[in-house]
Amino acid sequence: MDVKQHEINFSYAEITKDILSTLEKPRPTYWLMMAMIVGGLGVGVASWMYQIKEGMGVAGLNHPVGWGVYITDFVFWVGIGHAGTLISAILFLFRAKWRNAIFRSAEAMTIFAVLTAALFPLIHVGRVWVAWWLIPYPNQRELWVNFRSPLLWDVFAINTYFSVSAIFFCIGLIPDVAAIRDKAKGMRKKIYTFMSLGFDSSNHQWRHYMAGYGFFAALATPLVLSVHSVVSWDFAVSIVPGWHSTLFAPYFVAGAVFSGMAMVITILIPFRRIFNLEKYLTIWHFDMMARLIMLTGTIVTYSYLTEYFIAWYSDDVFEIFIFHERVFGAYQVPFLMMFGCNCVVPLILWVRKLRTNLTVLWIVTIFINIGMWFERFNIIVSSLAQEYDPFAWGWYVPTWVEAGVTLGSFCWFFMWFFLFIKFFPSMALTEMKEIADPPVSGDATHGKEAA
Amino acid sequence: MAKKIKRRDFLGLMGLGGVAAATLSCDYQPTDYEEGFDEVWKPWVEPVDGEIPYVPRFYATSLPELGSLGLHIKSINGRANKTEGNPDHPVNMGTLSARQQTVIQNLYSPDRVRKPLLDGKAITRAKTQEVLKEKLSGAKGRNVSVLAGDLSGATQDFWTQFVAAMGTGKLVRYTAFTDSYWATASEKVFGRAEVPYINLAGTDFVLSLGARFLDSWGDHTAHARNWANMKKIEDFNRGKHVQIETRTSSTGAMADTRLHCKPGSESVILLALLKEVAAKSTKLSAEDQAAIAGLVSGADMGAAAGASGLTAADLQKVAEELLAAGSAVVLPAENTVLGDQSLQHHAAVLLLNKALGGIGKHFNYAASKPATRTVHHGDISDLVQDLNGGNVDVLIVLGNPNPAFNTPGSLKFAEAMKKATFSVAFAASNDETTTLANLVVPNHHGLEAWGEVNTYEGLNQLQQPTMRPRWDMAQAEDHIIGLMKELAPDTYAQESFREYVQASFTARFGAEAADAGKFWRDCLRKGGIFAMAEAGEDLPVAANMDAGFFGAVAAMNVAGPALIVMESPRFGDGSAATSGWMQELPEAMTGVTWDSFLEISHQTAKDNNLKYGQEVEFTVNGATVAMPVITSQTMPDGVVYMETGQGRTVASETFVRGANAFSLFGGGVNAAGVFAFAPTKVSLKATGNQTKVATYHIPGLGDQLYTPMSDSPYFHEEDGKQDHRFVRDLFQTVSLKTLSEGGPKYVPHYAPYDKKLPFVKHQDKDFYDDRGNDPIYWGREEKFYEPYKWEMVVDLDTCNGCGSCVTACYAENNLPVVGKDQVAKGREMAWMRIDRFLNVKKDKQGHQKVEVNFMPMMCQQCGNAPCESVCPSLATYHNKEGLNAMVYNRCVGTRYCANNCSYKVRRFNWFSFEWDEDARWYTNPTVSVRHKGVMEKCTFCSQRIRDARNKAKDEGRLVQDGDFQTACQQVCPSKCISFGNYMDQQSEVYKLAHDQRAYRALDSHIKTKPGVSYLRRTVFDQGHA
Repeated sequence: MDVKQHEINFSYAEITKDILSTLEKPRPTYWLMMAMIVGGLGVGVASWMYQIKEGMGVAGLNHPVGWGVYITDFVFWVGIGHAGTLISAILFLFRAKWRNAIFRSAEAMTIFAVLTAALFPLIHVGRVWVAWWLIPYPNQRELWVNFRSPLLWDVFAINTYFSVSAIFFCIGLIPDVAAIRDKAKGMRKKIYTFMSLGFDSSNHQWRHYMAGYGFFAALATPLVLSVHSVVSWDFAVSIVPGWHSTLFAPYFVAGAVFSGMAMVITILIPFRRIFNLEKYLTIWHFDMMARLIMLTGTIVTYSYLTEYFIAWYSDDVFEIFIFHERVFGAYQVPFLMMFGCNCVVPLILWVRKLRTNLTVLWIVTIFINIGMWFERFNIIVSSLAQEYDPFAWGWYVPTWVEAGVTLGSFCWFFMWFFLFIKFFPSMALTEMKEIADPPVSGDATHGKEAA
Repeated sequence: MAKKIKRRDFLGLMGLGGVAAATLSCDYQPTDYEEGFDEVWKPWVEPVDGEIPYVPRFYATSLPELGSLGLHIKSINGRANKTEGNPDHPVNMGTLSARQQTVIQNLYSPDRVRKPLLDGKAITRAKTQEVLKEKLSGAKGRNVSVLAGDLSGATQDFWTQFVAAMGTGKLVRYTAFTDSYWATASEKVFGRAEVPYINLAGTDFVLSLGARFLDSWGDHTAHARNWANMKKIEDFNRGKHVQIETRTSSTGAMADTRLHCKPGSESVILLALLKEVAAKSTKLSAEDQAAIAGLVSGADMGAAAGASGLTAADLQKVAEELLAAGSAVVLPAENTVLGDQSLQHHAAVLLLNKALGGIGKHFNYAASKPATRTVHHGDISDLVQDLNGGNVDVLIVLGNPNPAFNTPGSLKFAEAMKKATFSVAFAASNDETTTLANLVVPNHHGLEAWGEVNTYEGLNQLQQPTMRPRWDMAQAEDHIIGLMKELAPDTYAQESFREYVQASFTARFGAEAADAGKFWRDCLRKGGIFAMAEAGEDLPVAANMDAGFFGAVAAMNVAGPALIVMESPRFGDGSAATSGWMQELPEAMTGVTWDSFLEISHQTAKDNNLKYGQEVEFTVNGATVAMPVITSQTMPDGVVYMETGQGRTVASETFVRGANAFSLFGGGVNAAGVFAFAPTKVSLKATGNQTKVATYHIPGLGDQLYTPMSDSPYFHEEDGKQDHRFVRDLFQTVSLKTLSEGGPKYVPHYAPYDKKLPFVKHQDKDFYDDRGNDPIYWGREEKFYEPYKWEMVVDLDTCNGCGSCVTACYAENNLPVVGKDQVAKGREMAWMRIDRFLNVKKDKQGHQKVEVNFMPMMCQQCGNAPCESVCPSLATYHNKEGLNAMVYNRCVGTRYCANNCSYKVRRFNWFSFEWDEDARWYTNPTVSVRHKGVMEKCTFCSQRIRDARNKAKDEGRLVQDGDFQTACQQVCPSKCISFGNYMDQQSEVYKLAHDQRAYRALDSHIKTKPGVSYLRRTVFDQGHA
């Protein structure tokens, strides 16, 4: 390996100062960006309000195509929410040291992405004011939800994933929050005190903490696989040609990790530059993440090809037709966007020189984000547009309301992320310290271990 | 114009209506016009002890504008609510076409005249009376003319008396489409100026030269029924339908053989056939045979073939089939495409039917309509002359004949009307003609009025009010009676028009009745006297035609794109263009809604450098119109098709659309006494505008579907280049030969609930077990499908795509009309649609052949429904009676069910669609009006099921066939829809579902176990061309 594995070129003493510097009083640029984000969020909220008032007709949906951009956004954001838990839980269990620097922000991203995704089921239903009927609760009318419906499984899957991720995130924060608590004043101190749960860094607490963290990591791990599998069953369980496929669960999970890692990189590269954290987030970290993208990207490409093979192999006219139309039909552009961005562009990463060039890497990840959005659009819309009855086919074109809500969803996500940057350490102080030289006199190499 | 009915008015009317119905006296109080309208009429059909709220009552009535058609108007709480057919009526027998159902929308039209207007200004009724009196007394003894619609019976007598009493004026009746050409032709051929009653009952071969007798021409509801009977399969054989036409119509689409002839060549073909058939006919007397031979000596099969673009062999074959048939009927081309040949054409049709032995049986002169009862277009021509000459002192326009819109543009009626010294319009609705009148007096709508409609001999239909008038107003006839008391006191003996009708009707038909009052009530209840002669006598050919009678008939030979204009089945003469249901009903062949269109073939479009949706303009007879072109695969090259009816200018803004085809007509009356359009060369010029045409389907894509047929040459042979992307056996056909050999083999016959029928061999296990043995809930005794499982069977052999069922569904289930924009976005709310599938093939000679198939598609009530399992809130579920029930209140609106529905029949409420103040009157109170965010769909008219089930339960029995019908089944003119209880093995639906032809759509692919069976369309093994 040419890229240095993990060059620890920061000292133990710097860590707290450098990392907590992100929590300092915001600069004007921050306020400016926050204003833009809140403005965009306003557009999204206004669009949604308009849609609630007028009806779903303000979106571009129609009779064959009942799901469009909203469900695309939903699956997209659930997918984005995959990288965080993967990094924090699975890589923790595998003891991949490169996760230490990135897991906190990735995990935060997960929570905010799921928070964003959870909005879309509400946004896309016709009567949001009765959306609570989707929650099973005992009532005197003996009305229950339909446990056979994948949408209900979604409700459970998303809620479980969100709560477990949030708890895991908070647990990971405990030692750091405790550190901030000691420096904070006033209201902040009270909040941090509450969140640190009385953590005082005693050996006894550390022992229990590490064990607890491990358990939570183990608990969160299956969720990484389950959530997107369940989301994929929204499609796979139906009988819509192009949706009805047993491949969907692994295919969606791989796609989710693929897009999630891309999003982590997309965010971390500017973040690293803005806060001068080059010391902590090294090229090596990005190289590792890029490799994960290469892996999942390959799986995704393989899945695409498998879908085509199975469509041909099934000898089912409807299935064959749908896959033919995806490539050559009215929704060819989304297909090319998907295939180009997810299968062709990431090939660049196979060249080490390019993937360690952060500008190139950043651009590639942007492409992947776009490609993965179009993948979902493609699956959802092109399948619905041309189903069994040719007389009932129809085209779907999104409207400004859907664009506004999508913009709003991005702003909503970034709003949380920006708040997070200013309220919590974006890197785990303790875990960074684990890998740095401890401040002991004497042997300078003591405790330095290669990750 | 008042915009809304006030709540207080509504309550008042409701109260009055209730009281009126409850007291049920037949006393009639004369209107005190000055103090306000408090006329109390009590029409009724069946005696009831008291009015029960929300229990519908049915009033039998008829309307002059609908002619020979019996209506049952459903009335709820004293308000007319829905149009249904009168099952006792001998012509329509309870069925209705789509357009005929719109009278209820007319009744509640926002265009209704609500206040008297003098020169455009609202005046009081007192003032109205004053003005009328002044003008009429001033004109007494001079020319007071009345221009009305198709009046007949006592109503006609009334107005004839009026004009006679007033002076030298005339009663002029006008409708844009009339059948008086039969009278002129019959006079020539048989010496009887009568319109025969055309009856297809008992025929086994129908040749139509273009008449769309299944959806707009003549008494099409009766024709469709008899045609469907003709297609009933007995001994693996059935009657045959051949259509020779210039444009593929939906009637032609259903023909066993469809031949395209050149515009203007129908008469030539007809004469050639006549010559051939008459010469070989065994049903003609020697004299008649000789007479016909003399008349058609100039005709020639080869020349006709050359002129029409058909082959002589095809024509010869048609002639042979006509001769070989047991009881063949030949129907003419439509009058609008005949130009000056109308008289000769219809005479030749009569002669040909004579040669086939059809006079008396199929052309019944014993039940004919005398010429005096039909509308002659010469009358209005004369009136226009009188008007232009300044000879008309007072012109009274009665009802809404609307000649300013639907007379030929060249006649310039509107200008002429302005020349009347004074004009009055007694009108129910505002239209192009009423706006020209000096005085507009609100009149009762036909459903609020008394009258008589007497068309065919023996068919004396009564028109009775089905509810109190919407506003304080009097019927025009009552105005006149009031006025005549002072102007000419001896004119009418009665105090009111109701009494006049009763007296006249009773005197003519009830003179022998023991109890005149009972006779009158019985007639009202029934809808009139229906005693048409079943069959008449064969008539000898009269010597009225000279040898050169057919000499002038030659093919019109239009060089270049030939424009043909035909009556729109949806809009007719334009009166239905103000109906949202009609605007939103797709045109059967092109699927166009809300717009005028010009249908041309792809080749014609290419030649003229035009594309779908491009707006073109052209000029005919001095009138220029512009509209989008629709390129169509079913259209023959070189023909340009336009429909009448659109282009209204005085109507609610929503309905002012498209171009008026009548403006293109020449003003002259032809020899048959009617206005007719002749195919004309047009040069299409693109205006540069592009119209986004709203259709139910994607034009050019998705309407093609290859129909695999077992053992049929259609499937195995022909071109090897089928586009397999479209091969999906949603629509299936079968040849009669295959049926005789034991049924189709291509798709396994599969009946889900009949355990005796094994599955196909390779499927030894059905994973999708039906629920027949399951309890409806765990731990309960009740089982699914006991005792009912509702199923439907649709016969694809007799569905002609007329769309009547679609409109009935709109009316019954409160479906909103969403408007063009929303239809263009694919958001129409029709629970039922007519899928139209094209099957484009090339035959061995390389000619393109387009088969057109119609398939009504509604919720299939799947036994194993994809929609049910995915609904997260259980808003849709499988109910005990096999219905895929939909609980609107529980729907959250995820639209997952619609996505997963393989038939795409679920409809989502994208908005809370507007029901304006007027439209709310005709919503069905037993069906909820849905609001935004809720999914909806067909549930087999579950409200009707519930009523029937409750009634049967009260009587301690099970629901049987005939207890009730679904709305679509009820109106279907060809009766192609059957509905009933599948668990009852005696039921029609059970038997049909086990017919050889039965299949369940897509079931062999996705095992949805639909509750709807389709009967395959049958084809003859050896077809034409």
